[in-house]
Amino acid sequence: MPDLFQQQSPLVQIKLEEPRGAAPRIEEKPFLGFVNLRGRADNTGFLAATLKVLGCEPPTVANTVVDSGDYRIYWLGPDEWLIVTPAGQQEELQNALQKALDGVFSSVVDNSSGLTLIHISGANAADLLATDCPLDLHPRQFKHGQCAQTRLARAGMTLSPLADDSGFEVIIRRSFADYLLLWLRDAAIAFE
Amino acid sequence: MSQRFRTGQGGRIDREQEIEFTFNGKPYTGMIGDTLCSALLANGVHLVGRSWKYHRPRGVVSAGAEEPNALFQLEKGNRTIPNARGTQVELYPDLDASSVNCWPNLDFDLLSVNSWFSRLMPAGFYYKTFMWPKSMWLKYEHFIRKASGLGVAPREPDPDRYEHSHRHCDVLVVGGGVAGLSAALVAARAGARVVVADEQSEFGGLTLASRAQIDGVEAARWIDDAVAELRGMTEVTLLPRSTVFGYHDYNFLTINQRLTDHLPLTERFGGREKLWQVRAHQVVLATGAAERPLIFANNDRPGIMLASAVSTYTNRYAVKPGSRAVVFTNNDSAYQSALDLNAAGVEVTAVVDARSDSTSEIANTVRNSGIEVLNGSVVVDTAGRKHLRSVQVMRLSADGSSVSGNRKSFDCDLLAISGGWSPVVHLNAQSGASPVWDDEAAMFCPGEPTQAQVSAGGANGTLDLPGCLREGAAAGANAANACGLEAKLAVPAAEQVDSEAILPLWALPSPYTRGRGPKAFIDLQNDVGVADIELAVREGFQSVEHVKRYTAMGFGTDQGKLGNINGMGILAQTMGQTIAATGTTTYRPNYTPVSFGAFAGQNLGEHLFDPARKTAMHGWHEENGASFEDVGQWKRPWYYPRKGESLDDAVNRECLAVRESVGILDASTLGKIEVRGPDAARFLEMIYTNNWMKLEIGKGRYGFMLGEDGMVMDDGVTIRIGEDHFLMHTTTGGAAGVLAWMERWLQTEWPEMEVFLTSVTDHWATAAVVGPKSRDVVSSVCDGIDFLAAAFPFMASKTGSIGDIECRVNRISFSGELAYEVNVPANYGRFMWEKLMQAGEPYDITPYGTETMHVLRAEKGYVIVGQDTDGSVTVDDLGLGWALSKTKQDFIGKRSLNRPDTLRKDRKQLVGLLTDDPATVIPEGAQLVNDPQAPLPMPMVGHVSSSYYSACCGHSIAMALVKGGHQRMGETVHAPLANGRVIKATITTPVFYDKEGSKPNA
Repeated sequence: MPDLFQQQSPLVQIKLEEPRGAAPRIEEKPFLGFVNLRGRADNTGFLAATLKVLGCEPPTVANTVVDSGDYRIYWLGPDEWLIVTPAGQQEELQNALQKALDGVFSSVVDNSSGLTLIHISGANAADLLATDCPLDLHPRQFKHGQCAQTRLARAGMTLSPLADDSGFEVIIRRSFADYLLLWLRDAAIAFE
Repeated sequence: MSQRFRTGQGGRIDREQEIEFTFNGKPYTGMIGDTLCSALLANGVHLVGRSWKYHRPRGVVSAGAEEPNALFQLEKGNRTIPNARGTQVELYPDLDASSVNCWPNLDFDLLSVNSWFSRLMPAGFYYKTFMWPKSMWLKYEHFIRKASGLGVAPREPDPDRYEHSHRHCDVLVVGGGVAGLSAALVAARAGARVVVADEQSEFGGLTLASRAQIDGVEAARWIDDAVAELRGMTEVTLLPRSTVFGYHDYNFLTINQRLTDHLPLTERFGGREKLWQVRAHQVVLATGAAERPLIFANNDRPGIMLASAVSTYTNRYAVKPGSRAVVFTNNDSAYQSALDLNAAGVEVTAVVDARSDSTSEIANTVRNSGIEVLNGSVVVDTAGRKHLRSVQVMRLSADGSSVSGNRKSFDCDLLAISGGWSPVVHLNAQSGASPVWDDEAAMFCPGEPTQAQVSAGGANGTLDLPGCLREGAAAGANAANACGLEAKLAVPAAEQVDSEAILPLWALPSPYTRGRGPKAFIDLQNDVGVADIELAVREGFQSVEHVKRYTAMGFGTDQGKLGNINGMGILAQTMGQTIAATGTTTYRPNYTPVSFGAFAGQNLGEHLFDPARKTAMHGWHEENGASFEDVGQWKRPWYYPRKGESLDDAVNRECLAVRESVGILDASTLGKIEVRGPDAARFLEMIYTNNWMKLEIGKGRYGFMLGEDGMVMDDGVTIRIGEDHFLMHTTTGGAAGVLAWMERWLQTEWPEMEVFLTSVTDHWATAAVVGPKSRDVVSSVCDGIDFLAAAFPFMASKTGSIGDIECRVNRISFSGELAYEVNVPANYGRFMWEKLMQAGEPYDITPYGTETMHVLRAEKGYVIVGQDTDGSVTVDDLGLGWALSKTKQDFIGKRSLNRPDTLRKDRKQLVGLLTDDPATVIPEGAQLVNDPQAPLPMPMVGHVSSSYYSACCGHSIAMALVKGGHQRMGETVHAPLANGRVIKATITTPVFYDKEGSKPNA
């Protein structure tokens, strides 16, 4: 296993401060594993192999996310999923999947350094995101267990409500992370 | 208290809070709850501006968004606002307002000489007069702009913040008058997510000026209760001071909310405005109706005001808009204004009613209160230069076509006019409907909606209070039901008041000879009169859209809200056709002007205007003094100047360091796409122009992608990692487009291919270590790889480790030197970079940026897609025909390569250029000619695409696309520059350095 102390998060140049006023809390969960999985959901061999490794089948309902103990599996498309693992477990998962999927048309790609995950929580979390996210984030429409690939300001994100309407989990690309956090920090001023 | 025209009681102003403000430098007082206009009227100020063309004195006409005259410049410096409608500016302490479009001042305006010559300045005057001589137009324009301008835009940066928000709702109610509030109450009680937007500071609309009762209580009280109930519901959003200014497709509406404009400058914190972007399942348009003026000679004097505005000033703002009033109407509604004035203690001399008789209850109430009602009469002229002094009344003939009898003069300083009502159909029309003319009611009503929308109340042509309440409640219920909720219809009760029909009147008959009398204005802001419409028709304009543009009717900040319907009526009258056949001009967003700041929101400045994508080593580059260059959205190090170094100095140093020892470049921004699956090689065969089936595992190959038109689209090296597994590199700017392009082909054209694509651009950090010493540096950092040339040849790819971290090393070169690209997961990017820097210390390893990268590749004649190509360049044009497979049956773009045009011999082809003077660098983009003495227009034979000084060659070098260039080696071309200088150059091969290409294989 690589030396985790040598790692730098994409947000190494951003200082996340305590929220002021009614602004939501923004915190990074750095260094998680992100494994991109592609395969055909109508391929029983694919589903069986992934079930064995993940402990559950990848979700086939559009825009949903499932938890299977260690892993959180996001539906990204009819043949694409993103598996979020605890820090440092991506390699093990990647190897296990690749082994189980040997001979099955599929693709397992480590993207752990390409993404990072932040939590936006607090009473105004949805309103902060709604500053420039065009989706309907109302709990009647977008609940825990759902996910969406959408945009925040001028960058993409994968968004999922946390349990108990306490906020959102946001997965963003490394190269846009700096911009998005500067943007979020600026948008939060409206709630301070 | 100096507010001489303030009534003793009533109104919705706060009499406890007297505040000071200035108008044209003079101090006045007003009350909290006033608008700027109501406060000026309370002080007896009627002259507020000058008209656009003739500089005629003008006063307040309305109490709302339709105001054409009362435009003000608010405040000074960076917070100045031009053309604010004083009818909608809430008064705040120390407000500083001044008139627009008058010089040297409002009372004495030199340009009012224009009005003496107004007959000589008809519609189209500027078009006709200043078109000759043509060369003088710029000078005329300067004068005309100064003479006719309105307010002045701020010159300094805006200090305020502007906010954005997206919102989804079941029901968006536009307009918070009684119809809108009824709709909102019914829908919200059913559990709907409701947004109510109203442009005023408080909800209630026109009913705020009414003395009627709803559900047995005063209307104002009912409004307060309704708003309180809505405010208490969690799924209701109330947006006061919010103008719905655009209605777009799919029930997408845009709202501009003014958050702080009503506060003193010193108390404005937070965002100034908020732009709401709303998607609504159902929209209720309860935007009300606007009163129309009547059109007669000299109808523009200060003191002539819409009757409904008179009631609003009297009842809502507790202001007497005059001391002696005449009311002029063609319908019943203005009678209420006569009663309101009377109740406020303003003497009403007469009600002039164009209708031959008026017998409704309210008309009789007016008569019974002692006010003279002159039926079958019209106002034909007025007097009073800066304030109305008197009006003249004549008898209207039975058919309405002429006036007769003596002119009867009435002294007055206020004329309340009502020509009927126009539903505010702007949003209905913007949403795709065509307004429909109702002949009986004499109004354009909303057209059949094309979206999930309903109009209610005044907006639907329903002018009576019970009708507004009924329609509003029904609209709210229907909207909620359409969202799958169960609404309970509850209609607030109000007394029905009977009224008699309107007598539609457009251009009133006049005692003056046609074209000789005083001007009768239709559009007050643009000084368009009846005669201008008639002239336009005489000159052959027939379409209402053409007449609008010829006369300027309906332009300006008010966009014809006050005058346009009258203008259409007059156009119809002049052309002898119906109003329905004449139609309306197009209603477009924005309903009222919206500040640029609202659209920009927070997306301003260095960090937020556009995303800055950063690599894992960005911090190191910053700490080491890099200057950055934007490549797509990426920030890439451009060069690393040392103290005192210019760009040229630094680049020369960096280039020589790479050629002589070793340099290091952050190459993380290149696009990286994993291509996996049994058909991966077959897929690449189609995507690229060259062969991929036989590429060995662990080897890379350079390839071109073409568009379907055969033109070069992208290029890069793709490495075969396994039998069914490739790693593709794309250009920095092309990455997203290439991924989408390939997904498109897989999903739509070749679904049978078993290939999956995954972007890993952000996952890998890449350092290119380049130069004769690169092997020494990389081999001392990366373990587990045999770096001997035989074991690790050019274009090979191997995996190893840096400490515990996996790495992939590709021996590829974009400089023509021995070079290795080292890749690690980006979380370790900086760690890798610092290791390489440390290992390179003995060789004085030199970080270099994109500028040096460009020079190094140009020395080798390597192209940059997007710089040396522009979407019209083929692989053959680049002289790289070897990259086109002759054996493959097909690849994207192949068919286009046999088009006659792509086979032309005189296509622009890539060549090198060497200037006679080695120190002269031809500017990039320079056009090339064969003969700089040729007569103009000089035939152009090509252009320079890349050009640098090469320290390594000791000579400037350039790449150019020249017609038939491949056959012109050794010939001369010239680059004539804008400053008159001509640079002479010789056409050569674009390879300037290491022509035999041995270095990368070292």
